[in-house]
Amino acid sequence: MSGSAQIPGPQPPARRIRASAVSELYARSRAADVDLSQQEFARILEEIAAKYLLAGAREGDALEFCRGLRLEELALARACAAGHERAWELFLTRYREKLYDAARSITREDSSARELADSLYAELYGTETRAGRRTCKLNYYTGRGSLEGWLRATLAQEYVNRYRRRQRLVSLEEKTEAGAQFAAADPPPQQVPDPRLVEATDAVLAALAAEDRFILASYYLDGRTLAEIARTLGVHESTISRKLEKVARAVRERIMDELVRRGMSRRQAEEALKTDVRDLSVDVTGRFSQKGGASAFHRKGSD
Amino acid sequence: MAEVPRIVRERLRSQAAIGEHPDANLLSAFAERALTEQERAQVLDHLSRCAECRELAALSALPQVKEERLVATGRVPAAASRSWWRSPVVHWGALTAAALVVLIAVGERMRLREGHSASAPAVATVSSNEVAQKSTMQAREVSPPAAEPKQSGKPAKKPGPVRDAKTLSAGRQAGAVGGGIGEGAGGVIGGKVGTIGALSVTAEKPAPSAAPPSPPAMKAQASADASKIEGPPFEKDRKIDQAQVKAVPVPSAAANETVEVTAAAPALKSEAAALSPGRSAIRTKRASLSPRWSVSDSGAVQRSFDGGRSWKEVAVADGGTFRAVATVGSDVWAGGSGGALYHSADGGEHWARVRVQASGRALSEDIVRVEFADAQNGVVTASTGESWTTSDAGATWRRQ
Repeated sequence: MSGSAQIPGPQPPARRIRASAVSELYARSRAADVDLSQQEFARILEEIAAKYLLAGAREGDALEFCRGLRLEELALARACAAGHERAWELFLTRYREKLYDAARSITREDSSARELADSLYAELYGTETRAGRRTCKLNYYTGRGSLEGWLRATLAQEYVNRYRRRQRLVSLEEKTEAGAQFAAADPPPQQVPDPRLVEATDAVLAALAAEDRFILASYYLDGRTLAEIARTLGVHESTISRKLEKVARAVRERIMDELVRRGMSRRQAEEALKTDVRDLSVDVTGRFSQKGGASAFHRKGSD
Repeated sequence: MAEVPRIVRERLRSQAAIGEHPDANLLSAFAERALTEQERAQVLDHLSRCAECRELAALSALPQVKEERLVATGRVPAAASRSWWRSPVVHWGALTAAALVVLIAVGERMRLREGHSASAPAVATVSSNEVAQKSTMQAREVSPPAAEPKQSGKPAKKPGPVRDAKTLSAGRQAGAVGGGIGEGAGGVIGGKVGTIGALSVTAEKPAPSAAPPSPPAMKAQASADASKIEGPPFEKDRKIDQAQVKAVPVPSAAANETVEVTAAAPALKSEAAALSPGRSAIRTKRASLSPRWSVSDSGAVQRSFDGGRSWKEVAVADGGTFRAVATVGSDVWAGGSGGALYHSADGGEHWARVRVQASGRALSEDIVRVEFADAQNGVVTASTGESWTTSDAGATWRRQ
């Protein structure tokens, strides 16, 4: 996943915010306390507004958008990125422990948490240089969410990247020693489902609300618990439980309806949706057939 | 949980992610519900199709503590509340202690039936951990003169039988009993396990922290000249002190079950012995639970008295849609659309609108989070991400 990619699409031209409004935002951000000038702060705001707002957005919209940013945390992060000493002192005081805590909650293990947090520190501080300029990850913080939340998300990203990197580098021998087992051969190709079933399912899934689809995918594909999904969505576990039950039932019923609409009888539709034997990834026919053509039973007179 | 047909999983898996991946800014804002509705829908749509981003979103989600604050189940007082009480040791300790209480009561009954003399009552000393390990019950002889001066001094004042209550917390969150085990999310059951005279066992709860005040259940704690065991949870070497006689208000906490062991007390010559000689009664009943609060799908504030198994909507305000609720004791705060914040000081019976405003500006955005550290100090977070704090129970606010 790229770190700088954004959901909002085309990059609109930067828009100006009135000087008086900038002064108000600058005062609210306490950027002066961390040695960030008003001009620099205005430039940052315009850059962020350009990133998230559409080209046609009015100045009022831009102002309202900027008011909704975490201005104080934004000023602190950008002042750190600019290398201001006071900002770094403040940052370390406020976020050092939080960063370690967040790393611990991600890795669930102390030493790797420290390693993860330290590696992010290096990137936050900007030990690498590109084109003669120090690159500091804090420059990517835009104040949409809290700085703590951004640090957590960045840590998570770093963790996933590291994990994948390690997965790629581990040799087969190491994997075998670690107890990994490798499939002897590719499984036989699965039976291709009825195209009407695929179409009906796709239509039903496409019509679902994004949140419902997210819950389904998290639960049934990723194997997340109700509590984990609830935490991700910021709602209570009981809400997810009810919703999942409701959505799973609704999906089944709607697919049935779609199949009937596509010419299947109710019984055929039910048959197509049956989850029992089809849900097992077992080649039943293959398992029952004897290799080498040996018969399971003696034929009369074959002895 | 309902199963979905295999084809649904397959088609879900084969969905192609649309749009670009959300970065850390959007993911953190998503987790904090700081995105606009449109942005949130876009991110959700992407997440529903992208397993990698779902993994990141799950890792970036707010820590457990905050979630639990958001969905208030009463204030969780200490970090310990989520660690040790989940331990299997605690659970087994609780079960063992509960079994012992029953055994003691049955034993008492049998002993009394067999016509044992009441002049030398045996004192059963219960320590959940020790007993759990040794499966033994200590017994001591207590001489009658030493037994309970208060009790013997005014035996006629007690109208009924001498009752020693044992309150057991056997619920999911209630922690445990005996041996000082037990602390729940909604309240606290700490613990002493004591043995009172020859009669009964009393498990009592000193609330170690800010448990939500609840209608106090008065528990009669007869302490004859008995042994009392007290000490911190899991302490192996228990002290044996003199017990005391007093009526103790017990915070209802999150206890699920109360087992009262009532036994006759011939040794003390109390009315209990007179009224119910040789009779014991074991009664089990449900204690009142601290309610849990949450917000329903439709944005209604709801309350559960059975640990979240069933929920009932609570009428807060007509037409309001709520998104967050927090409780501190009997104070309940509910925030929702258009900056609406309501407060109830009596556990949700009556509600009053609280205006969140400072320097001439009132909060008009949706409230997405309400957090109160205590009855006075709280933070309300709007969908725009801005926070408003109060340090005087909502009378005045400061915008951050």
